[in-house]
Amino acid sequence: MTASSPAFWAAARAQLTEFRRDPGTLLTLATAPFFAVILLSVTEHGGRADLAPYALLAPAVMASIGMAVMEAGETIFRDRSTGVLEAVLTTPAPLTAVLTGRIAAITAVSLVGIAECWLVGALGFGVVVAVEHPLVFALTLLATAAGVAATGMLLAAVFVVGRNVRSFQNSLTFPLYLLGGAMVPVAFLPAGFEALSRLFFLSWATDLLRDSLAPAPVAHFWPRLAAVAGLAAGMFAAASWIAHRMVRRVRRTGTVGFA
Amino acid sequence: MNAIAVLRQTMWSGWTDLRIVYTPTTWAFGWMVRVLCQVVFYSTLGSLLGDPERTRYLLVGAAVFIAANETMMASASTTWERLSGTLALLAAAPAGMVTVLAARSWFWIATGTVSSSIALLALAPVFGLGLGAGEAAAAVALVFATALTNYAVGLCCGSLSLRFHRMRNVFSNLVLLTMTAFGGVVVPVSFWPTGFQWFAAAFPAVHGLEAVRLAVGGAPAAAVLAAVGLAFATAAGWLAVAAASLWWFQRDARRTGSIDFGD
Amino acid sequence: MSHIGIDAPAVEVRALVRDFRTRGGPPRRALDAFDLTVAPGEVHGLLGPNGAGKTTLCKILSTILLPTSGSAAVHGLDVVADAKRVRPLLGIVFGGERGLYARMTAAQNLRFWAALYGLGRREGRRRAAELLDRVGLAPRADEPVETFSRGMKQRLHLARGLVGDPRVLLLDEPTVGMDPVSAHEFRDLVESLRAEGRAVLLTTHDMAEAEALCDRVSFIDGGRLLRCEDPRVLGELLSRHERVRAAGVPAALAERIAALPGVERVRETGPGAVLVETDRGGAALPVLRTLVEAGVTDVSTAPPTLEEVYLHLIGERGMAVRP
Repeated sequence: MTASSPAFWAAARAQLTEFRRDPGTLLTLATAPFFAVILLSVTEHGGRADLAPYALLAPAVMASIGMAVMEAGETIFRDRSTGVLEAVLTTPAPLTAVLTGRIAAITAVSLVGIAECWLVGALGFGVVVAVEHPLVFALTLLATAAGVAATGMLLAAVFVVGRNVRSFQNSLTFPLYLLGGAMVPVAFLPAGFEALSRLFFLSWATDLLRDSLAPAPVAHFWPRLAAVAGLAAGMFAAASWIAHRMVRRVRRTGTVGFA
Repeated sequence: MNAIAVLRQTMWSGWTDLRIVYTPTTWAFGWMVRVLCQVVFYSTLGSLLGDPERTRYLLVGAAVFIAANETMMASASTTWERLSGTLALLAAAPAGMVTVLAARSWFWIATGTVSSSIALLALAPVFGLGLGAGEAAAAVALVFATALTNYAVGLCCGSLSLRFHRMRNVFSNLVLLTMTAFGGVVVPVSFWPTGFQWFAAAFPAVHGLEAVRLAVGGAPAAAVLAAVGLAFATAAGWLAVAAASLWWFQRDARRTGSIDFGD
Repeated sequence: MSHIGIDAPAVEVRALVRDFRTRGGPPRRALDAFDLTVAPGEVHGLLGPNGAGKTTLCKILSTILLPTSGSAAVHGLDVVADAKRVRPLLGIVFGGERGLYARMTAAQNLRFWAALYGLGRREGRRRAAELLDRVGLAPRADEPVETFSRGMKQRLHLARGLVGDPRVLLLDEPTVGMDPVSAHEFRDLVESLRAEGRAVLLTTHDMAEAEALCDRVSFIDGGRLLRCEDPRVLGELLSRHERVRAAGVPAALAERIAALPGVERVRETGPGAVLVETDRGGAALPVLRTLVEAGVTDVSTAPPTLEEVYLHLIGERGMAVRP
C-alpha cells in the first residue's frame, strides 16, 4: 500500500495555503520586478537593445532559484521545528513524496516571475521580448523547473543534516546567480569558475533559454537539454539519498524533534 | 535615567545578537562570499556591455550599496525584540522603547562599513579601478557615512515591521531595491524621469554613494562634503520619522494591547 | 488493509532496551528490558513520572525510533522490519501543541494528514469533517490552528491520530494542559474507541485518569516495568494512602493523631502545620473527625502523589528503583 500520490498533492496544497496565509513567503516574487527594472535599465542605458532578453530573463531565473534557496530550502527545517516532521515520519507516506509535493508547488509559483518580468519590460520600458524558438523555450523551461526543484530538495536536506549549514542560506543566492549565469553567461567568468559552473544545471539552462529568445538557430539543443536534465536528476538523486540517510539517522539517534 | 548606561547595555545586547547572526566562519565564508559575488554580479554587467567605464561605475555602486544593504537589516533585527518576547518588558521599562530600539542594531553600521569597504578595495584592481591610498581612505570614511545615515532608513522600516510583523522582510527589501533601481547605483539618477530623481534624492545612501563617486573620481572636497551634508540632512528626516513611528507604535500598542507577553 | 496478525496482540513488547548517547558521559538507558502486551480492544495505561521512558516507548512503537535491542510488534508486525506495514495500523497523538501546521485551518490540517495516510481527496474531506465533529471542533473547522487554545489543539491532535482509522492508538500524555471539561470529553472519546475495538496505549502521570479509563495499568519508572495491575489496585492505593493536611494544630493534638489507627506518620510542614499520611483505607476519616472536634478547621485531604504510590508499590514487592 502506498500513500505517495495523495501525499504529494496534499503537500502541494498545504504549501499553497502557506503562501496564501503568509504573503511574506512570496517576498522573492515581489523583488523580481525590481531586479527587472535594475538590469533592464543597465542594458537600455548602455544602448544595447540586443541584451534586453538577458535583462528580463535573469530576474525571472533569479526569482525561481531564489525561492528554492529561501523557501524550499526551509521546508524540512520548519517541519522539524514545528514537530510536523516527526508526525510525517509516523505515517505510511514516504517523506520524499511529501517533500517533492511542497517543493513542486514552490517551484510552480516561482515561475510567475517570468510573467512579472515580461510585464516590466513591456509596460515600464516598452520592450517586448519575443520567444523565437517556442519549443526550445518550453522544453528548457520544464527541465529548468525540475532543476530548480531539485536544488530546493538538496538544500532542504543539507540545511537539516549539516551542522550550521543553514546559517549560509542568506549568502547562497548571489553565488548561485553568478554560477548559474543568470544574467551574464558563465563564459564571461574566469576559466576556473566557468568549469565549476558547468557542474550546475543552471549554467546550461540559462544559456539555452537565452538562445531560445534569439533569432539565430539553437546549436546542439538536445545534448544541452540533456545536460540540464541530467544534472538536475543527479541533484535530485543526491537530495533523496541525503533525506533517506537523515531519516535513518533520526530513527537511530532519536533526535528528530530537535537536533 | 543614565542615558549612557542604557546605551552601553543596549549596544552590548546588540553585539550578542550579532554573535548569533554570524560566527567568524559564517561571516567570512558565507556573508563575505555573497557580498563579493553580488558586487561581481553587477560589475560583470559592464563586461557584458563591453564598456570598462561602465564596469567601474557598476563596481562602485554595487560595493557601496552593500553598506546600505546591511544597515537595512536593522529592520529585521528590530523585530527580534518582539520574537524574543522582550518587547513588552522594554515598553514597561523606564528607559523607554524608542532609545533602546534605536540603538540595539548599531552593529549593522559596523559590519556594513567593513564588508562594503572590503568589497570595494578588493575588487577595484580586478575590474580596473585604480585607487590611491588617499582615495581609498576617503572611500572607506564615506562608506561609513553611508552606512550611518542609511541606518535611519533601516530603523524606519523596523518600526513598520514591528507593526506589520509578517511583512518584516518585505519593507526593507523593497526599499533597498527601490534605492538600488533609482538611486544611481547601476545607472545615473539622470536616466530616470524627474519625479523619480526627486524621489531618489530623499534617500541618504544615494547621496553617500554620490560622495564616494566624487571622491574616487578626484572631485574637489567641497563637492564631496556637500553630498555628505545632504546624506546627513536626509538621514535626520528619516530618524525623526522613525522615532515618531516607534513612539506611535508604543502608544498604540498600549491602547490596543497588541504587545503580548512572550509574543 | 493487511489482515496479518489480526489475532496477535495489538502491541507486544519483549525485552526492549533503548540507550541514548549523552555528551561525554555513559549512555543513558531510557528503556530497560521492558515487556508489555496490549490486547486488541484494550485500553492500557502506562503510568510513570516524567523521564520514565513512556515517550521513548511510544516513539519506538510509532517507528520513528529504533530500539537498541529487544523487539516490539504491532499486530504481529515488527516495528523495525515491517515499519511500512505497521504505520497504517497506528494512530499517534503526541502530547503538546506540536505537529500541526499553525497557519492552516483545522480542516485543512486533517485533510493533509488524511492524504498522508493514503486517503483520496473526497474520502479525506469526509473523514476530516466526521472527525472534527467527533472531537467537537466542527464550529471552528475553518479557522487557522494558530488561533486555537491549547486544549483545542490537543483535540485536533486526537482527530489527527484517528484520521488513518488506526487499529492501535498511541496517546502520549494527551490531556496535559486540557481544561477539566475537555478532559472529561476526552474520557468519553476513549470509551468510544474501546467500544470500536481499537487498542489504546495511553501514557499519563495522572493516576485518577489512568484509574478511570484503563483496563490495565503498567507502572514504569527508570525505563523498567515495575508492575502491571488492574486499575482497581491503583484506586485502592489512592484511597489507602490518602493524606490530610491541617494548619493550627497544637503539638499535643498532633501526638494524639499520630496514635490513631492507620496513621503512618505525622510530619510537621511548618509552625502548627502538619501532613498526616495514612496507610489503611478509611483511616483519614477519624483523623478528620479528631481535628474538627478539636476546633481545627483549616483542613484538606489529598490523594498521594505518584512518587508516594511508587514507594508503596516498590515497598510491597521489595523492588529497588535504579537511581
